[in-house]
Amino acid sequence: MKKLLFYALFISSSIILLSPLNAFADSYPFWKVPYDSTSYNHYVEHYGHYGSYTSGLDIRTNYSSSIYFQDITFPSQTYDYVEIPILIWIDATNDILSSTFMTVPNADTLYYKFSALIISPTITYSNGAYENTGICTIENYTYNGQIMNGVLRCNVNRVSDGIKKISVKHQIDPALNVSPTASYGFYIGSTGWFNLIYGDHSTGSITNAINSQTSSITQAQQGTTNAVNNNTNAINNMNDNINNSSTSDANNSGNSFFSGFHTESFGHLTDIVTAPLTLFSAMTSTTCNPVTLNVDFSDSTNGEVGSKNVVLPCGTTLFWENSSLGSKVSNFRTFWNILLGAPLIYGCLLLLIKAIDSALDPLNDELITLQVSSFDSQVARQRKRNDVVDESHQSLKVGEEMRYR
Amino acid sequence: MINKILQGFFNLVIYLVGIILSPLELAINALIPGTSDALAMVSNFISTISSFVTWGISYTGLTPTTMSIICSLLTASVMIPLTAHAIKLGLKWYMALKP
Repeated sequence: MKKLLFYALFISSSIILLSPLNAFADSYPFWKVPYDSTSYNHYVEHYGHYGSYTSGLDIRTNYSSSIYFQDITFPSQTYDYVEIPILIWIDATNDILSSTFMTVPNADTLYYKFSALIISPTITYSNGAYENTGICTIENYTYNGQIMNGVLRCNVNRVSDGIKKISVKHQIDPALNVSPTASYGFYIGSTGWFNLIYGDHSTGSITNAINSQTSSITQAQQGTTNAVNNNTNAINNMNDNINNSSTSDANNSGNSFFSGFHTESFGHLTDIVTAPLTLFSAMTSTTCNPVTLNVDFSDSTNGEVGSKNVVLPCGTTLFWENSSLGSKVSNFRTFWNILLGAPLIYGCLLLLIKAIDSALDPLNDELITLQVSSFDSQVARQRKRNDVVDESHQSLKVGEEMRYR
Repeated sequence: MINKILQGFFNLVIYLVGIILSPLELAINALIPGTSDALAMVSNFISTISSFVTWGISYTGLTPTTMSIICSLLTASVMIPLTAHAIKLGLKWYMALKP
């Protein structure tokens, strides 16, 4: 009962506290869109085609990657275009590197590799409408090794309807003399945020527009490292899963049984009720997404205001799985897991033993959950035992009567 | 394997709770939309917290296996008293209804 009351108080106080914050956010001029750029930090799913080294894909064939947007509600506004920082990653085998395609004389071969890409985007709106002709370009691109960073800029005029997804078909120019069976991997990823641009870009706000673009490029570059690391981790996890599934029948049956239950969103009330489960589920999650905070800024020297996305990278990216730090970190992680994990597991085991002990106690008829303070629990139990002792004569009498019956 | 069982169990419970609460959710949305907005804010707040949980755990250096073991033990610590209580309650009802 106490916990229910605490939970109800938590929800009501959150509503009360967040309501004025929401009103403040609506009225605060710096929080609202000050000029011509809005940064949205929403969860973006990206699915790309990734060809394995040995699959012998024809790189001149169309492959499609899609960036899905989930549950985005846009303010009522006519927008000019949407900008999405992306990275394009090409992984090729040596037969591509040694082909005619890559032997362009006196040039940066990687540049030609990327310049030979043909991008055919399609924007699908939430109402089912779509556009696919001359709407997207890749701006401000740079390339480093097998990765190209850029900003996918798409003209949009119905964005207030909501964007469902942006699909990008991609292929190497068929006119190039490339081996048709050359293997390659291709991936388009986004960094989890995008800009919606509107307003006058020619007068008055040009400085802000430039700053916004500079910020976009910087953020794209910062996010690229995280995205690449995440992609690498995802591929490693996929490999691990494949290895596990091929070596464990139990794992296969577990996958097939539990894959039928989806975490569909039934509504906010369900989300609140199942919040502890969601947090538990997050604790066991194998992947970490960098946290992005939208920070407002105001420059008192020139009066500029705006907002920036600050990306906080994961600890695994920075330290624990950072390959540049060498193998010592991974070795230390094993030791660290024993050092930190063992006391935690020991504490959990004590809790479990205590729970089993309580469940087996015939005198205990109350629902015992995790207690923040064990002292309160002990006092309550001692009082209960005292009450039982006080009523022992009466209980014995009733018990004997029942036994005789 | 432990992780998948845990995730499957959580998904199952969330799914069932969602089905049970869906009529209430629809009623709130239709009758008191202001409350629905407030619930959405709380839900978003919880979602933000859950994203920070994963991020924070990544800094502890604990592997998913270790976290799965810890969560399994915590889940068992909660589920065992709940199951025992349910059995006791069932027996109590059975004894009371037994002719």
